[in-house]
Amino acid sequence: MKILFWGIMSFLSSFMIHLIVWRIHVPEKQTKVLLCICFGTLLIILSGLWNNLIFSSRFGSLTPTNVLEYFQIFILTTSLILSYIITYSAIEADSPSLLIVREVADAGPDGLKEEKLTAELNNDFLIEPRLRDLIVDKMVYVYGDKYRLTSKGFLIAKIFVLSRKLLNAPKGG
Amino acid sequence: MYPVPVEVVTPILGLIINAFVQTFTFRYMKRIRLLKSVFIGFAVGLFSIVLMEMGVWYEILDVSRIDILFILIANMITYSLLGYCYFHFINLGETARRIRILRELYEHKEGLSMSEILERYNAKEILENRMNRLVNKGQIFLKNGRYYIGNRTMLLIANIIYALKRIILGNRTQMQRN
Repeated sequence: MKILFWGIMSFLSSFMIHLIVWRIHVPEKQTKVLLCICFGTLLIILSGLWNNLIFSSRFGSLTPTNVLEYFQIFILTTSLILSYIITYSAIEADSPSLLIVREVADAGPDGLKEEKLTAELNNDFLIEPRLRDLIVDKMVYVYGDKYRLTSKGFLIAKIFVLSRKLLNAPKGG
Repeated sequence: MYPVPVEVVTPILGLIINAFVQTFTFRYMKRIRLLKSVFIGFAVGLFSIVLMEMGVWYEILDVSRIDILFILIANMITYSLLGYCYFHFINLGETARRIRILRELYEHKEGLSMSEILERYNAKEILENRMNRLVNKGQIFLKNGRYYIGNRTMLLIANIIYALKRIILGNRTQMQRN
């Protein structure tokens, strides 16, 4: 019970902080700031519990009593954080599939012509913003008129190349 | 009574089993498609967790049933969330535009100009891939040269994402979209 309680509490607290921060100002490096908020909150809650200072006397039986329980709270909260951050990527950047479905739904009983989609979802909308994101996230840099991978971009590309090779799957995209 | 260490790591062990089974079934069983392999991997991982938990708690008799139930629930939630992350990792390799651009640049160490990137990966290809996927899965259908909504699952997901976007970004939603 205490593992579920503190795992969910920690995530909800960081979600509230994230909501407040985003309403004031959306940071440029959204994922990085989100990670800092979520793991920062988790660290504060765990150390508060560990030091027996803030919550223990008030929450009695909900206080973790050994290292393994702290570890379980950490794993549960981390999986909540990672799941949210992955879902957040769909909020941060519009997914083309979801946009298509919404456009078709908005067209109503008259249906939607493919030409309308082609005109709206062009390279300026689908490719260039993603390339800009890669530059902001320091995965790509500009060298003359060429785009090149940074070491971080190279590492991430390699992970996906290997995983696709392991699955024997094509390039994707 | 404290939980034993194996109890703590069952979600991670479940995830490893999930990834192994998913990779094996997709790679070697040609009839099984990607999404189905993800579901099979997830189910086998979940079943392994239940078996591991039963094995652990069978040995420990002085723990109340309610404690066992809550730990099992916490571990199954943790495993499901890790499984969700794994599904998205696979999905990123399959559909993410950023990953595809990284892959194109990975294959050309000397770099690519914008026009060279667009020769290899462009809006036309992105749109074609997605329209084919949506039509094949019955999410939309084509009739007399126009597209209509079929199965409403993707529309529901799109509406949830849009609602979340409004909650988190507020009035900036439209601005971001443009």
